[in-house]
Amino acid sequence: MKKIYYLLLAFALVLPFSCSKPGSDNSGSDEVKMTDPATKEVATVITFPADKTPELVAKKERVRVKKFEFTEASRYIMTFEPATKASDEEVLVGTYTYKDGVYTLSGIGSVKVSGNNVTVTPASGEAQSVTATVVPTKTSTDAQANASRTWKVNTVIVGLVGGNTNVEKKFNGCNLEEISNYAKANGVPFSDEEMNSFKGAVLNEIILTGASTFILSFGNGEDCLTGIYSISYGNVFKYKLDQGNIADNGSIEFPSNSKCKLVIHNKATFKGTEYNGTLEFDLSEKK
Amino acid sequence: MVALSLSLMGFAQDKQLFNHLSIGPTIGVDGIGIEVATPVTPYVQLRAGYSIFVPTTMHATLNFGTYQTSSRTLDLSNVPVSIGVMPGGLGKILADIYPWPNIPFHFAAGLFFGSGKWASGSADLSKVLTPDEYATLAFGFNNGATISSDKNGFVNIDAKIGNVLPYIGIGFGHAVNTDQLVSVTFDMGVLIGKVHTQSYNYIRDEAGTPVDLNSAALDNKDKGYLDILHKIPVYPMLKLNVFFNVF
Repeated sequence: MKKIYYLLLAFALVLPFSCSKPGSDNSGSDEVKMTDPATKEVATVITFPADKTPELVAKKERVRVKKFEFTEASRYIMTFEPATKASDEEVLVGTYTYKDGVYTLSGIGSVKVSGNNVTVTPASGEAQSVTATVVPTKTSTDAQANASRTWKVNTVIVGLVGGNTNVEKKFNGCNLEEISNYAKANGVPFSDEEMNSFKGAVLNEIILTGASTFILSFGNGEDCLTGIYSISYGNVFKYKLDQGNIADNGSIEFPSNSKCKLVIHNKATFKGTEYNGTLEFDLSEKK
Repeated sequence: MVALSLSLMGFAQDKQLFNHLSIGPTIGVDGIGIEVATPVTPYVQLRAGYSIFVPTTMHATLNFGTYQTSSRTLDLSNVPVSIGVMPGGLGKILADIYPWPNIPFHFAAGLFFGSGKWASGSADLSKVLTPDEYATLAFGFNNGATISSDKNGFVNIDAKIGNVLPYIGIGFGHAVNTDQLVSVTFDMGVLIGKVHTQSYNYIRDEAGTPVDLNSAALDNKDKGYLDILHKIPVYPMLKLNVFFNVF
């Protein structure tokens, strides 16, 4: 899932106006205090002991759940590994509802929490009770409280500066297929295999949580870039993605209620030239 | 001598607060216009008017050469360009100060009011870019901010200046001259203000985010001329005026 960063490199190939003609203000917007997201009061992280992981069916296979995070904005983030084979840890994102201590995960099952006693009931299967570490999520700053929700991508501006290149291109939504088609139409030598990998890859949601989790969720949530983030003074947004050891910073601001502008930077080297890539997301809160 | 002195005194004393009015056309660096004039005292006459540069918009096709991307050559050899000088025109209020009321020489001071644009240019890149690139594709030099076309494929550049420009100068002639039906006056002076040039990036804002253009932003490809232009503190103003005595 380094697709986005691969595309950044692709832009280095295609868009340089190498001898071309003749270009935002991240002023503080942390004064905006948004209305609370739907499940802020029940946001929780549940971590299971390594030897007592409950089993569920996810992505059409039996999996061992290592961690549940229930976000402030009705999303669960389930970290798991396949139960039947050795494989890397994976993440699944979906929606949940909460009532009377029970989190109901769409299509997965339910999780009942009573203190540290957690009962996981698969959609079809027997309930499993486990003693786990249960930590209610609390946001530490107003900026994090504003950020900690599920965001829909309205537009993304892909920017690249480096070598003789200084270019920005704006796209509606964040459809990697569309972006890669544009790149290929302008000369990026994507192979058919690479083009296929972008097919249907739509960044549907960006999820930020009070537990500092940062998720870029593609498609129906089965394909995610995961990481952590922090917001420091001056609306500086620092992030680190688990995949590809990508870490950098950017900025975040909240122009109005339910609106967010998230800018993330990343350096990339291509053919010996270092490029500064920028992804500038215009986001609306997903209720 | 006594008669002459009495005559001059009469000429001077005839010019009292708003007791006469002249009106007439003007032509000058600021284009064509119209002004009205009235006396305040024997030593001071006020003028107010409006002028507009004609033609209001000039059109040309310019050759900017070609620009090479890794896969695509942008042909900028026939780019339709339109330029407007002082778009919207200029309003003005001027005071003519006659040290010797019976002699045409005078000092002049006042204010010009305008849109804040000394000139406004627009380059039509609608046939160079594809429609999906209008207001979505921005580019710039290595270290400069990026500019884009607007939603119609036009790249816009403005030479901005203050909305209110002080004027000082000298002139010859009486705008209000009750001795003659028609009088001709001449103004020569300077408008005080510095120009700065800017373009726009329409990616984030349909109205365009202003982008300062200076020599550094252009990687000095303008040979420093823009920075020199920005340092000029005054702009010349020459005008010829014809006034008709109304009363």
